Amino acid sequence: MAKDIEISTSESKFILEALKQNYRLDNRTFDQFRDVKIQFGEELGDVLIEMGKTKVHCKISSSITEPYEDRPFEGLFFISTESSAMAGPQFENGNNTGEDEVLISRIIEKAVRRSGALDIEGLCIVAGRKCWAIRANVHFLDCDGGFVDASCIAVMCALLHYKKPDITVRGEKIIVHPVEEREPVPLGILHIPICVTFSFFNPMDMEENVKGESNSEIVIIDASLKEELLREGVLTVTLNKNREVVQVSKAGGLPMDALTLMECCHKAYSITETITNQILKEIKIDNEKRDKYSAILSSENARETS
Amino acid sequence: MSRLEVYSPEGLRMDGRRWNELRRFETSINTHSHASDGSSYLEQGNNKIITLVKGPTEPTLRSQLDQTKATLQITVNLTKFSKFERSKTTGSTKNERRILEIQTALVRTFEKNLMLNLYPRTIIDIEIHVLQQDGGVLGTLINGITLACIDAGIAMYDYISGVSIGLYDTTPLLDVNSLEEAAMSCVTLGVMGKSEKLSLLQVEDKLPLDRLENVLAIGIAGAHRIRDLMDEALRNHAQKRISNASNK
Amino acid sequence: MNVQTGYLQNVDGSCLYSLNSTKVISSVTGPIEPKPRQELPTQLAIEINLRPATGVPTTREITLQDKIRTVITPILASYKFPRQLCQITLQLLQSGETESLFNQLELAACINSTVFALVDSGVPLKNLAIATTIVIDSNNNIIHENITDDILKNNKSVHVIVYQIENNKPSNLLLMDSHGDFDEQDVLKVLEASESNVRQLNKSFREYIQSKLSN
Repeated sequence: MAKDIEISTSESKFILEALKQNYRLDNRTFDQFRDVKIQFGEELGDVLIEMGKTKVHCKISSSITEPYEDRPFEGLFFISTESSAMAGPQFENGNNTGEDEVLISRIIEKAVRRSGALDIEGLCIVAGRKCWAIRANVHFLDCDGGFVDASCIAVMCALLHYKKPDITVRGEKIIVHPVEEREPVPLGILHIPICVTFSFFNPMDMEENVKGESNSEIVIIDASLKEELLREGVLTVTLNKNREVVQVSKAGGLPMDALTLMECCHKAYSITETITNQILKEIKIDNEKRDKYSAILSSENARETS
Repeated sequence: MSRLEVYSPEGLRMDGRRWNELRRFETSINTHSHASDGSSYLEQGNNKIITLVKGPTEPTLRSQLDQTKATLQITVNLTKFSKFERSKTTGSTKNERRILEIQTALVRTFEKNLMLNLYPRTIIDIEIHVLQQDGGVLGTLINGITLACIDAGIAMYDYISGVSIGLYDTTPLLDVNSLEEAAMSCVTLGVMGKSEKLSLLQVEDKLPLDRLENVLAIGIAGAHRIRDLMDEALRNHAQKRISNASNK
Repeated sequence: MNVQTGYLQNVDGSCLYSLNSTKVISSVTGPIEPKPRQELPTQLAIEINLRPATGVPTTREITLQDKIRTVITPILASYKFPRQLCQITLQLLQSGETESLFNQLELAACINSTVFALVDSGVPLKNLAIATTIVIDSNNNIIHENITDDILKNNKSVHVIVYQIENNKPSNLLLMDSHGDFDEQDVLKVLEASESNVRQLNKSFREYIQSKLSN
């Protein structure tokens, strides 16, 4: 990131020295994920995620188009992650080939699209002719680190929140029913991937890292912007609640012991669980707010369901 | 895929290997002695790549000049004819996100391994041409760069060896080819020398969390084997050069 | 109208602005060093980027950007910063109108949001500029508040009016962007209605800033 923002030598020394003594600037412990605040907008599929000072907005839109020729039974799904100067001076308008922009968009792409989080076969209307195209527009508003984690949560929340208008197919004709006329239908979400990012720091010199046996590297979860600027290595693990690894990306950086990395994956799982539960809970609350009759019409039993 | 079995009950893979066998690993060093400072040609199975290292040299652009260390620049050229079906994209693939991602990953891997602080105010330019690809390309690229950098005489801490491992049901398959890669989830590793330290780790498809450890263990063992193969090739090459030089 | 300035951390000024169902965030960074091709030898250069809530920017967004620029340029004290750049980024969160047909609600929201973000950023301004949208519906009624998408669809003409604020009251007309079928009488009526609207907006914005400063 940070082509333009630089951190002064004394401040970077201070942060690193504090890390060596087990302190972080925002008083979190090393494996503490920031609290995630989820706000739903007025419209369906409009979500604002706040993690500390990081703010990411995601909005889903849909349209009916023609499917790809070689995939007649599948709908289209795009995720657009374009950054703008709003998030900070390090992001340039209209330039999305910067190293970090590419890595962010590729990781989200792999975590959400490639892993099949959205059931794209369910978007097919008439095979080979008509299908839904779903577009997730991710807007980076404010950057204080953890863009990947926040935008992954934002995209998944927005997809879960969104409902597309109901349709009727009569031969070649498709009737789209306005939202007022018929209850819109939610998208088919097959699993909820959650990204957790770890940052690595090397308190010793490079030789010790490569040859030494001590494995004394510092591992922290969910780095803030300043920590991100100083880190020497980064690992993003994407998991879902079914104990599946969806995506792991450690694109170079400080070499880390395989066992430490495995430990990171297990730590990430417990975070994944809490965040998934939080998302589902908030979606449910919002749904109930929108549909005042749901409680009366529900056939759900009164007993506790996990 | 028609009748091809990914992994037969007898324990054989499509190309006749067992689960823990690497593909053919053949390499020549210093193949382009006039065009570059260090070069290698590597065949890992049907992956065929040429790697050229130029530098350390004076940078052409001001922005590439770093007062404290050398700038590392890696360009990957996936040729259009490198797969069975010719790539359909018109124009250059240079700005494709996938290529940019690979390049960034390679730069960040080798930035920590090469002793760039020894060459301040210079640029090291690595160029890779992929002539043929057959699964696990990222691992092969890592091996190619390691060989070429050693040939160029750039100071580095250790070998980095790359390998891809697939997971078929519960069996890890070492060093996957493209058919296997398409049929299952794969993990790519970049391992530092003979240690258990991973410089690169990429999982792109779904994989049970509890199997990951097993896959990593097999991968690390495979990468160590590749390190030995590279070491052997480099020593043989050096031996030849020394004997050629002393005969004159 | 709902305004929240200083919403973002990493820019010099920002404003989250919402009016009915139109919601926009604007950010201002500046004065900063421009790229060589943006540089103006005698004054502050302005870069405006507008991003729609869904999809990618199109000609529609470029038109809006240009209209915003015509309003912002006269109110900025741009002679104070020669060879510098002021970067304005606008992100629509919710458009509140059918995007393929209208842009009037967005335009007014974007202008107000930008001006308030400029106030927040501390970039010197000569005056304030405040925008409002007025609709004349098919029954010749003038609608000047709570304009929704349905009202827009039922319009005979729709107008965006931007006034410069001097000495705490509207003075010069900075922009009048009208579409539809209307005559001279209508224009005068619209101007009258918009003036009271702008007064109201100006008052509530001043109150907001005052309460923010006193805290």
